[in-house]
Amino acid sequence: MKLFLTGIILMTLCLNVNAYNTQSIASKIQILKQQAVLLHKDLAELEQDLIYPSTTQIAIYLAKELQEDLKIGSMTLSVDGVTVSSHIYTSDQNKALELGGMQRFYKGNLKVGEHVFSAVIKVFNRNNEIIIFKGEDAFYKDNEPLSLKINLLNTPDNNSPLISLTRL
Amino acid sequence: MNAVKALFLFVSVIGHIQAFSNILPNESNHLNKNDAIFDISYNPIYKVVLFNYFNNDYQEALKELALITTSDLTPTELKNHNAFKQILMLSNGQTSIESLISVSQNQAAIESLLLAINTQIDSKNWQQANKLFKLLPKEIPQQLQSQHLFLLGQLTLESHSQVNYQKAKGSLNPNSLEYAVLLQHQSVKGNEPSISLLNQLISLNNESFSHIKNSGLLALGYRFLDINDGQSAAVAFKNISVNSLSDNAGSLGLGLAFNQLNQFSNARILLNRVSKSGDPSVVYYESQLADAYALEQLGDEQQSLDKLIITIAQATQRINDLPVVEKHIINQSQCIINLLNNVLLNQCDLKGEELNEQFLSLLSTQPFVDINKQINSITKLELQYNQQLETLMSFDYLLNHQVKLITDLLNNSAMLKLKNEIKDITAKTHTVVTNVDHAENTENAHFFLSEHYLSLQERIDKIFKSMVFLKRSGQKNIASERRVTLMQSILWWQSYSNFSQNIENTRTSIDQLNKQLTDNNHAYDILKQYLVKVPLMLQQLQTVLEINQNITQEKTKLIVVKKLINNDVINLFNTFFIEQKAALEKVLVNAYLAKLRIEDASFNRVLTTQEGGE
Repeated sequence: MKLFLTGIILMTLCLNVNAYNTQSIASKIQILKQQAVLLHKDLAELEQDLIYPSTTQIAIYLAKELQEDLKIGSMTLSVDGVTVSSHIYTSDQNKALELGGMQRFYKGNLKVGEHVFSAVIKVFNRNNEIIIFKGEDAFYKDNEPLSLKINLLNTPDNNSPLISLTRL
Repeated sequence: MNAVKALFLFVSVIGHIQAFSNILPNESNHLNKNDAIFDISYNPIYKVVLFNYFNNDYQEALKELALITTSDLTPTELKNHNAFKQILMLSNGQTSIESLISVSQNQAAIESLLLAINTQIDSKNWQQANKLFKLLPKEIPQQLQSQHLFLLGQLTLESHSQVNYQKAKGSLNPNSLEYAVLLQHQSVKGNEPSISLLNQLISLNNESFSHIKNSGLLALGYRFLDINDGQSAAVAFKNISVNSLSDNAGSLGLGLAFNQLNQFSNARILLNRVSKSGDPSVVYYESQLADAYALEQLGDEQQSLDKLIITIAQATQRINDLPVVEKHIINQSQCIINLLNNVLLNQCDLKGEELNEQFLSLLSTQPFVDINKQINSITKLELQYNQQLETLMSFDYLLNHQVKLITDLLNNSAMLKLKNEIKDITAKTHTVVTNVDHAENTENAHFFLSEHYLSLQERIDKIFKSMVFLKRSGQKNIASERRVTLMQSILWWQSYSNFSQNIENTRTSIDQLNKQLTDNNHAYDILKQYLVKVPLMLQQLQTVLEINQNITQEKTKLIVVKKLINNDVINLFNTFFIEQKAALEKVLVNAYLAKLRIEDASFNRVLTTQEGGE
């Protein structure tokens, strides 16, 4: 019995020593992480300032506010007739959109003036049939950053889904 | 019960960012939108953060969150923003439980602390558990109160603080698991076995707690037997469920209680039941011994003697077999260590069914349960180290990426380009401003003349020339001259209007140039500040390396601890066999004494009869 007790005490001591060291390392990592996060923030801001000056900045977001079970398969975005970005969606990303998330689909630069934005979204319904939504609209870009939201939503009257392009 | 549970937190958006609730990993991707806690003002970037969060891309979510300007937020919004950040960092494995203390007023942080306390209690690390307990706020959210009281009860029971223990237990729901576990602990550890505790245990009627209830009643019953309260002991043992794991031990206890109450016939029924159950543990031998006692008390000395002789033979055989069994099982030590982690009995080559049963009873003893916990702790610790190493690797990557980015920027002479661009724009602005000023001062209407104006002016000049030619030739055409002069005036007037408009446009251009210049200067400043941080990043890389080495060292230490545990397993086997041998020997001694007593009594009776006959 004595042997057993001694073993347990020894082990508790070992575990305590380990716990102490782990905590110490954890705090060190914590400090390091905080510094790195700050640094990363500065870098990200710098990147944004250099690449997207406020006068030419444009950002396009995608949201999904549908009542029915439709999965986005892909989306293509064109500005002034030129395709600028396209994306294929995973089920996780669909889930993220359903839960209220909004994807920053595109970020870029545009000159001051009027531009035409068009989006094509391919959607799968429950029977795995493809439905294509197309939307197009023109917006004036002034000296301030322009943010647009492409939204898949239900119409209030007959509930059929539609695509909308709006300013944020 | 929550010892090995990590915290997963989920965020939901309803119109604006509104809620998060914490749930356990197995219930992941479940949202509870009713548990609204946060209310961060609307900002589309928060939705982008959520998109990345729900997509399990925590790094990206944190990056987006970092770009949100917090200076415009109200103090409450800022607090919520920070809590939100903490949750994301926790999800990303970037923070430890201690960092949550700063936001310990919110539910997520409180639950994290409770889980940490539970882990410490499971490891019997009472001091650390107490320390963490003190970090909890006074107000505990309703949903967490039951867990809080349970932990408090366990802690106070351990520190023998009866008042606080009763207070914590009294506040728990009597139908809760926490309440049942506390009663069970109390039945093992309390000062004196009490009737009220017995009644509380009996009144537990939830089927899913039956094993807790049985184990508590068993412990309490034997404690009543120790103080010779056979009546209460019998009540405790009677309430143990039939066919439960504690059934045989309970039947033996009830048999002993009946013996204590002189109800020997009732005792025999129960003790025979134990004997016939084929229980391989010491319980069997003790039941035989108790049965022999009952027989003796009932006057059947011969049968009692027979039973004692058989028991002595069986126990002696068992004791003689012990070293063989022990040797065999110890040879299988590695296999047993594996068994502790994965209960796959068939992996071990144990001799015969009887040995398996004996081995099973050994595995269910408390020391092995403890060892199992220790092995689990080590595994958890290893997992934790691996997670830390993974985090470090990602930071290492991030830092290297940043250093590379700066180097690329420098290699591409970004600073020089930016500088030149600033210089160029400054020069252009200066030229434009000078020219405009000059034009404005001299009212040089030709400065901004259009092609259209120039062609008109050319035609007017030609007409004037023609007029001069006509004058020279003696022709006089005053009306035409006046008309052309008027046209010239109109043209100049139009030109001046254009000029004014051009001046206005030029001023706007200058403003835009100035704005661009400001932007560039700003970027230049940031770049300069960023360059200063390069040494810090290199230093961080060094620290990452050091921490990495520390963790590797710690992992090496774990191997030593594991070795110690392996040794402990061997020691525990030795102890188990020594204890079992001692218990069997005690049974033997008692059996011999009983046999001697019965034989003496019989001898004395025969002698008295003979003397009486003579």
